[in-house]
Amino acid sequence: MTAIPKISAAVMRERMVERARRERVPLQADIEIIATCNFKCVHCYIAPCAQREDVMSLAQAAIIFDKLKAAGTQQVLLTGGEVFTHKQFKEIYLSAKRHGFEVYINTNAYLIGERWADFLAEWPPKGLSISVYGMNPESYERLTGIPKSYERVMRAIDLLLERGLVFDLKCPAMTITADELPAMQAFAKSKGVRFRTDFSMIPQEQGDTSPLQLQLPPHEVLALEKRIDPDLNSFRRYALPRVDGSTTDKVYKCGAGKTSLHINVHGGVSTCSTSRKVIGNLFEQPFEEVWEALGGKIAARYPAGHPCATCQFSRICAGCPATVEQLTGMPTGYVQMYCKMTHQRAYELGYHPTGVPRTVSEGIPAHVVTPTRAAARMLPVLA
Amino acid sequence: MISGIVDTVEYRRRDNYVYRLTVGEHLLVALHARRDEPLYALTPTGALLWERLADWSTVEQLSETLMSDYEVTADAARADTREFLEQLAFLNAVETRGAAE
Repeated sequence: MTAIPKISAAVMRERMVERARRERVPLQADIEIIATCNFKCVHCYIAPCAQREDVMSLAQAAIIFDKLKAAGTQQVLLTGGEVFTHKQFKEIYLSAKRHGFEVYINTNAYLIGERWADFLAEWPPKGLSISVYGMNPESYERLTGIPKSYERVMRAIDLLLERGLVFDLKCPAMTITADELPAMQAFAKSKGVRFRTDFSMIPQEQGDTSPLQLQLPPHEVLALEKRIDPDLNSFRRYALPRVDGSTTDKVYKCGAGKTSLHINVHGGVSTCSTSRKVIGNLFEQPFEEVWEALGGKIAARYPAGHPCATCQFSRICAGCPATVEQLTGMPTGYVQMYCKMTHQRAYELGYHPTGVPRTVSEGIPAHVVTPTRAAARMLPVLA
Repeated sequence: MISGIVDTVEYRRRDNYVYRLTVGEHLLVALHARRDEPLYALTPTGALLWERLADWSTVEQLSETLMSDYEVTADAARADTREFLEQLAFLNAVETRGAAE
């Protein structure tokens, strides 16, 4: 009767996620504890973060943790900026652990030396995700703007591995990283760790659209995906349960706002880290009030005639409401670049006869919001 | 008696685990766990005993806690308590004081 049930963690997690979806419980939260970063990455959407002094204090973090714990959150991701530049990172991290959260960390690993590696070995995070930006010092420094960044990060990776810590490596796929991504993937494999990439560039939080210049056009995205995964097996597995001929006019089909949320350094809440549109503030409002407002946002439906409302590939779209929101100002907007990427992938998997979306021949309905002029100027296929 | 659990010894939970009740699951989250280590779940009665283990408690006292909240015989409560303590001891989640028999 009082035994600790012998069920697998995967089964229990599935049970928890299912119930969280059903009851709309915020099981996961991303918390941006600092906007400051020690890198000056050209693609960063929080930039110019090196100059910013936006920091969440330990006391403010504790307010967030208390509210999330009461709301049922189980997993928190501490992210930035660069979390290890936060003077109270250790205290915030331990506070999160002592609240009973499973804690995940995003980092560029530049500051992880012997001492941090020992600390993480003693207090392991549930997940550690390290951003990498190249496979040689020149390309690394060109992107990060910081001398010795390649050497420091490679050393950090070795220090963590020596201590048996498990982590993921990730790198955004963009014009200046595309050539080295297959080598980064091979490097990750050689170290026995997972490698992830993402193909969507978004504007900076404060409006500068220059990161969009680095966006790979759809045909190059597909070519790169095929270099990394020649048979697109990974995408095939992802698409299989999501492409069944049905369509939906629901805009939000992910867990954002249903089982997860993002909290920025000022306590502002948005659907996810990609969306920078704050809908409430946890420093100032009760959690329930903010969560309800988020629920209202994710209940959005596409207007009649919107191309995505009748698209059978909307569940595997290269874009999501958050990336679309960043480019058009509205989660219900339409970005043809994502549509082209998705249809080309669908063609490769045999789901679509031509790989060309119908908006190319029929045009985009006039009432559908498209990328802002500033964004359109920068995006490769819309220029 | 289940091996290792002694009735005259007092038990208390260690601070290397944190208990959480979320989406209906009574979770025991290990503070020093590696990524691949499992997440432990307690039954509601296990959660009740875990709360009681904030203070030093004997098998008898823990059994009484069970009997006060559940319709269970003294023998069954003692057996369940011992089994639960053994599992916690395996996880290094309890400490002991007092002389063993």
